[in-house]
Amino acid sequence: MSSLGWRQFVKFRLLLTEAILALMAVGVGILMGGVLVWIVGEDPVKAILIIFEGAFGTAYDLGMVLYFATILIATGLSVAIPSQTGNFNIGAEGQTLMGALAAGVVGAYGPANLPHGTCLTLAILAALLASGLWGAIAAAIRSYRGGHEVIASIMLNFIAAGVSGWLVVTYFQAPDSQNPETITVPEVFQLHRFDSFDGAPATMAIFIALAFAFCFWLVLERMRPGFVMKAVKQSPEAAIVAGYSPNKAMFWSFTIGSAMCGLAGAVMVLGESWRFRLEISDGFGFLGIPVALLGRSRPLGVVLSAFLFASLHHGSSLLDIESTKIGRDLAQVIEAIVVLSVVSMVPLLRFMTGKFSTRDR
Amino acid sequence: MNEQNPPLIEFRSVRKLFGSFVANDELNLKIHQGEIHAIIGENGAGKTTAMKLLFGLEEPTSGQILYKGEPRPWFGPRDAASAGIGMVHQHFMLSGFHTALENVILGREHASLNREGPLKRKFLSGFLQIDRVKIRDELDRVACKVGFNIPWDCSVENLPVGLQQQLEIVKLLYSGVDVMIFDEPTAVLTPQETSHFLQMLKDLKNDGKTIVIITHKLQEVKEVADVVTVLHHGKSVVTRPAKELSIQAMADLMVGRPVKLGELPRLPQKVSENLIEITDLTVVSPGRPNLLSNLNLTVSAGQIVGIAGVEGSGQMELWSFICGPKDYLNKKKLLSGSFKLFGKEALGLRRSDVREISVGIAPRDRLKEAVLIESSLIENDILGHDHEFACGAFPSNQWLDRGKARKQILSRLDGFHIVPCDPDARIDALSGGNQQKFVMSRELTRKPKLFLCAEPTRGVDVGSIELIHGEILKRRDSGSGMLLISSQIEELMALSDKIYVLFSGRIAAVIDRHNFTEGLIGHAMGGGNS
Repeated sequence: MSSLGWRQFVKFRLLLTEAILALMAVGVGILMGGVLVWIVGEDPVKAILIIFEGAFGTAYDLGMVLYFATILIATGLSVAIPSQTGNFNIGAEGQTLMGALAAGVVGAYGPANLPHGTCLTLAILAALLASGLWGAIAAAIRSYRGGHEVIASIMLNFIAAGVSGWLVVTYFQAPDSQNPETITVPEVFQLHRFDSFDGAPATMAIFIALAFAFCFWLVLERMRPGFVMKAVKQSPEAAIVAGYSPNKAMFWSFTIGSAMCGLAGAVMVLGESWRFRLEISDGFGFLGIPVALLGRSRPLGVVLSAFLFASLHHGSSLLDIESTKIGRDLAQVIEAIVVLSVVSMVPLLRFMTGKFSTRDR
Repeated sequence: MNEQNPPLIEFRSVRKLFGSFVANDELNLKIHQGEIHAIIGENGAGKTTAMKLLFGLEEPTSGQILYKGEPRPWFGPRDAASAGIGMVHQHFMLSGFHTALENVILGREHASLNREGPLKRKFLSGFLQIDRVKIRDELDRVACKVGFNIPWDCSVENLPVGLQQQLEIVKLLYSGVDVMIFDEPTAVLTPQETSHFLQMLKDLKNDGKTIVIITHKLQEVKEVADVVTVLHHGKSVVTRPAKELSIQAMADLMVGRPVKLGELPRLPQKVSENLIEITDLTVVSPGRPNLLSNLNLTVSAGQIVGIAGVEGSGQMELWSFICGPKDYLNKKKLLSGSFKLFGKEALGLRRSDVREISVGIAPRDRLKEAVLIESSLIENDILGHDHEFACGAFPSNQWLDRGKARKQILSRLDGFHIVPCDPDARIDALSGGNQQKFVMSRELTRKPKLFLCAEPTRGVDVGSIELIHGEILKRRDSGSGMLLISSQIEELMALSDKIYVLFSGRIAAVIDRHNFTEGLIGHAMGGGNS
């Protein structure tokens, strides 16, 4: 085979193998979820059909899936981007919270006399900035102090919960509410919902999320910073000799990754609830981790797995209504099993792809 | 040695395939009791695979391996050890966190408990105290016999490589093996340590041990080996008593064609502008003696400047200073001195700046510092040179032109005879020698004005050494200046126009080419002034 053909063949085989393994992980998750359903005494096929119907049954459901997918693409990217330099961002929850707060505050108190597009841009940029800055704390601890990013970012989750609560109650409390929340943002700061989804909060933000994923792909595959990130991940020593700065690369990949959470926060506030509430992020930050893991931290992978998890998440809510024995917890169990399958498939992947890339001597 | 006795170990027409790749073929080998048997061959000639077969780490595809006339009775390293065969690997199998003593005990805890009753041993082995005092006594006795003095309580990461190797050897001796296999034992040793080591091999032989040494340093083979087996492309080409083969003959057999050894032709040096000018450089580090003190050094165009010195004399400090002077300003390690690159003040340059002004860098640790081991050749060709392939308007010059890289790489791979010549092969599919040739091709074919190069031929076979040395001299002749750091005096003497000998951070001697002698350099390396 010509060298060009061979190259594409190898690359294609590699991608195909990864895709097959991801699908296998999902299959294992669904299968084992089904076994659990059967043990509980419910019909597994029926349960799956219910989830399917819950996710795609009506236009409203489709809209909800789109909404959740938007959020999960963002939080998934916030995990996938830092992992390009070998860092694990487990602080998406806190970063999302800070982004949501920033969007809520700018929306509530920002200049409402500007055009709609400008207002939205302002609010979203503020959210990206807030999330990025929050992530930058963990990034700095990692890059310039040598602390562990997992510890740093998970602690910052707790701090974010506390700080945002205090900020809301002290400075931004809505006077008409008993709960700690901000006032409703004016319409000029609200993301318009698409008409065709019966009022579900599906907005053009999905295109922003997809654009971010595309930019991530561009940087990774076509640009110099992406090359530097790969070098840093594989060998910091070699990166240093090559004239790159591993600390800088780690800092910026972590910070920019965290900033992605700002989009998730902004979508929650400007697209759905129109105000910042304390419990707004509701575990979607953490859900970004399985999204990135299943998507193997690749741009397209993250997008696809975000849609899968969004469908599962929304579809399973119908179980609460349709079944007495099982509920939406099933979705979480399946998610967890999928993650475990992905993690345990790494050696399998190395075995399957190793044949095409290395020669054993 | 004595043909009438049956061999201790025998390979009969052994063939080993990995997929379609032939690692060994028609391999015949007879190792007799009490001899020093050298196995030589280029990288990728199948030496390591042969030893894996002997150990039972791999099974031969066809053919037989006999031990004392019987088919090999063991199935792995542990079995092999109890059968009396042990190996010192090229990369030491030591745990850096543990002390020397603990490294000997590691994995042998059970053996040290043998005096306990069987029941107790079976059920309480995890709880019983290991008798360190007794083990240490025994170890001291073993070490004393071969003339080693190992600080048993020092953690291994703080031991110099020479001592680490001694530790590996004592480990083997302590486990009571009779056949000792050494894989590239002198790759990391200084000349003095090497001659010690070779003497020790002879002593071990006199004690009745059988020794197999895998190497491509032919001088050493000539010095200690009784019998030589040459491998070429996985086949045993010839087995002969060492005294019947000249070094030239061994080299030719290894490479499979006549090789030129020794002095390569070079043009007379022209006097031209200085590329590196270091004056009165002093670098400090808190809590340690000066890393570099009052160092003066110049490298001019068309000149190879060698840096000699025992390990830790300041070579690597000098190296990383030149690679990235700004780091030293930032970390406040620079006490005084000036540094000019290409005639311009260079103290403020970052590592990336140095890279971009036509300085080629080939670092010492190939696997760790020079390549991305999980990436393809083409990615590795871009590594450190991405500024050459920069393109795009927005954001300006942040895009990478991989197509351009692809166009350039083939001529590079071709020119250095790198196998496989495939830009998409992962670099770990290349043998060590080919990887090193790749690193050299990446830096040298870009025609750097200045080339910084450390250990250019570490772990590389004769054929590749010839090529690498030839290319280095070619660059010199066409006007590049070079700084060459090497632990091998012969290499420095073969290539350099001028040698600076470092001793504890200062320059102990500057020697011009016409004055080179091993004695003079060795004397200065030990701290003597000249």
